[in-house]
Amino acid sequence: MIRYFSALSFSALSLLVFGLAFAPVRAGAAPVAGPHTHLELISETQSVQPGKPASVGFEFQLDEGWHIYWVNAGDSGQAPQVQWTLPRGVTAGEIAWPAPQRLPAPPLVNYGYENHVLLAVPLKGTESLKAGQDLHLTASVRWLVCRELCVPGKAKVELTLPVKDETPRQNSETSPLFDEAGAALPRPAPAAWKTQVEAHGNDWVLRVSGDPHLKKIAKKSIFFPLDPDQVENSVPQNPRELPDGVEFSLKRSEQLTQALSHLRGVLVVNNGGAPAAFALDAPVHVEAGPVKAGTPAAPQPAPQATSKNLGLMLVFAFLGGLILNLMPCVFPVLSIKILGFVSTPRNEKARLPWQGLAYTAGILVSFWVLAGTLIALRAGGQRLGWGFQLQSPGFIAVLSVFLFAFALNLAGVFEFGSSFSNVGSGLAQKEGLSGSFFTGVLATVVATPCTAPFMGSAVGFALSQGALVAMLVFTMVGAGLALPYLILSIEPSLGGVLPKPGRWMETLKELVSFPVFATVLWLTWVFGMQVGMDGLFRLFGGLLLVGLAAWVAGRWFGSGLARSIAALIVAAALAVSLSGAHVSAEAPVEVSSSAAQEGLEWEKFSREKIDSYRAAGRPVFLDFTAAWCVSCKVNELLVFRSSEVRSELRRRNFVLMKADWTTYDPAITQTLADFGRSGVPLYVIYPADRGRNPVVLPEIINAGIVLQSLKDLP
Amino acid sequence: MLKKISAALLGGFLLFALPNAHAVQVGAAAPDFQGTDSNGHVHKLSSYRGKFVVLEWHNQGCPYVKKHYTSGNMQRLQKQWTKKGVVWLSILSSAPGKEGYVDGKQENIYLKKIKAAPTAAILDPTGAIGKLYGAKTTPHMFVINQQGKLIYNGAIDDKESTDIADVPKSRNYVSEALSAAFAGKAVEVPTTRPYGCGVKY
Repeated sequence: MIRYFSALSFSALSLLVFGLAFAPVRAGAAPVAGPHTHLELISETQSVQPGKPASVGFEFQLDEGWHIYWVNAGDSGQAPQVQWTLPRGVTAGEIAWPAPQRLPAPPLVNYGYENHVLLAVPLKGTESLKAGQDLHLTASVRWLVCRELCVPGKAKVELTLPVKDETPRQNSETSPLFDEAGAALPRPAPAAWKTQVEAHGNDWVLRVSGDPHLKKIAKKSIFFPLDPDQVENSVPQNPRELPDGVEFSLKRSEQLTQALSHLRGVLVVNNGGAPAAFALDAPVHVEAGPVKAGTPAAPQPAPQATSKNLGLMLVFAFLGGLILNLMPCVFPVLSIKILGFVSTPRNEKARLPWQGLAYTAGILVSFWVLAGTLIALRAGGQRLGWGFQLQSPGFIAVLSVFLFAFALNLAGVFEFGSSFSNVGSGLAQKEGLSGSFFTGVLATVVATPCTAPFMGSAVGFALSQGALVAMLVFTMVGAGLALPYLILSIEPSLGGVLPKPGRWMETLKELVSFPVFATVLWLTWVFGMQVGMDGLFRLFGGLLLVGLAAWVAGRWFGSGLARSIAALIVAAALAVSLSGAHVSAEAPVEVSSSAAQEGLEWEKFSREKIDSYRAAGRPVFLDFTAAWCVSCKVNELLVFRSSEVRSELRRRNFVLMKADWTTYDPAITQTLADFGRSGVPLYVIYPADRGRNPVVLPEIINAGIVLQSLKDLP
Repeated sequence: MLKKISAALLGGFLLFALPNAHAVQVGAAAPDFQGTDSNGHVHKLSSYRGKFVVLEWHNQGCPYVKKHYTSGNMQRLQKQWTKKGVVWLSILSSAPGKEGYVDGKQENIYLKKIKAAPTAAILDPTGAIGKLYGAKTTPHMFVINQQGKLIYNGAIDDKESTDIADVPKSRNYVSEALSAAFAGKAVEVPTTRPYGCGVKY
């Protein structure tokens, strides 16, 4: 380094001594030689005119394979730095940085220049100069030049220009270099362009649109962030064509600790010849959901909260509600409903449409209550999602007690008295409208643990929107759930020829009690998961009391005293069961955290771990589940039993992670929200390559779907 | 009731406002790793729970690293803080054949020659530890507290240069973080942009 300095001082000295300072062409005797670099301070013109701006620049010529850095060097390296010594009054502006190149050094990416670059600098304050004077410029330059390794350079470069009272003549040797550098300078983006960053958690999408021409150059475009520490430089940008623009995948920088309102940068288009560069200043909008995983080629705008989507989401909600009828949680209720339908006497068939409407009303009203509660609680700052009520052991206790009583009734242990005849289903009697209504309520209540296909995204969407939209979406889910029965009730012929009522109905009714008992079995298991053995014991005690009450009511059927005693016992049963729910507060039970299941090791969900595993090159399969989520359990059974899936997961060195939402968990709720969901199940595959977006699987999965998704990974 | 609601609101808001977790995020647990040092001893980060740990990404050929070793700055920091019980791990993530790659024997000769005093110099030729931490440059510094949480991630100081003359003038972020943590205070500047040569993975 010192060597270059002395060489430089010598040349400067020789300039003075030999009076060559007036030499009209390139400055100095020769470029200064630095490590793998030749550096020269040059001027665009042969002279300077007082009062007119002038343009000088640092010309770097680099050995092959070596590079210097852009103003934002990227992951490592450093941009050249200049310290000027200028005559009084004259000032040097900022370096005009031409379009850089992306310089990958896996896993890092830097931004800079290879071979040759001119860093131009405007000179101002020339009005202080007088014709006939000499303008003497000195700059001390420090730079870092790197190939595999880095060498710092440091040199003093000088330039002397005559000051003349005439329009300066171009320096024929240097002005083409300035023209070339000028062409590669970022110019303001055309007014028609619309730029915006959509932030979906750490995944950002930069979208530049408003010009059909952009589409053609999409594949040849690169975005360079102007400031360091805003986006991860090494993440592939995957430029994608839009009808009138281009979009890039970016990833929020790990070094960025504050919210960013604007992302500034340069869009560089390498369309043959000199690159064109445009300055961008994109406002950052934080969006709710994740970026939809899709084929990078297809223009796939990220989910947006627009009215365009509302229609689609309503359709999804309706379809979801429809399919909900086939989900395991709704089955018991559905079977009761069909039974009620079958058992309606012929002369009562005229009432069927009314019952269908009452059933529909029951479903809709309970959906509204549910949605209203959910919206109100969320507005109050609680972060709850679909099925939230099942995260409450108290709710489960009450539901278990109620369903157990209901099942005992179906099994014939007791009959509800006349005052209660419409509750659930008074099958032998004609079913009242309030009974139908109530069955609708029941259907909704037991349906909540299930998420049907299409429903997840619709409900997630609903909860990210205003109350009105949310209500609309929930109404559609309810309408979907109610529709099949409503149609049957209006057009009974669709149900085919129904057999005559008779003994078989009693048998069928008793048979149907078993799915309801099964539901109770499952609810108590969920309860046990939430509160542990002691709490579960109390719930069983409560159920025992329900059994006693049922026996009393059945043994002395019709006696008002027996009815009162039974009601008292049921109240006691509720109290005992609910006391079990509070055990949880005293002894919280760790819910299946890291456990082996089907011979696979599951780790407990942790966002940090996902990132660190991916950084270590391992893909992650994340399963959002809950003990009360029947769809989840069915999925897990179908998928992880498959030896093919298991061996494929092992072969690909997958880390399996379970996010258990059986009880409320803010981190899991937040992550679900990041994917635009508010309920389980949700299955996400994180590819090992952190540049790739996570892949979201459908709500209902099977071995084939999972295998296909695994095979689609690179 | 109103109090509760506003508290819940605030809590919900904070939950939203918090930045998302990353591989290594200041305030979060530093990912555990295991590495072999130049003497063949195995070090596991989690076994140092209860002590402060400094991770220093190192490449003896890098001019930015040289600035801190030629000036004696790094050795001074190593001695100053290891004396107070801090575990100082220099980590060498250069791949074989690339600048800064050495075997244990070469590293020991180097450590002796420049009088470096880290607790250990961990050889990471596969770059596994470097990539786990997202180490970008040499030097890239991390400070982990006694609870295993990352409290500093970034540059060694505020003077991005290879000039030894800058060392006395610079604000050393690592010393600052450790001093604050020892005093039970929050680290004033917990994250900076690391400067230096790219790690030669």
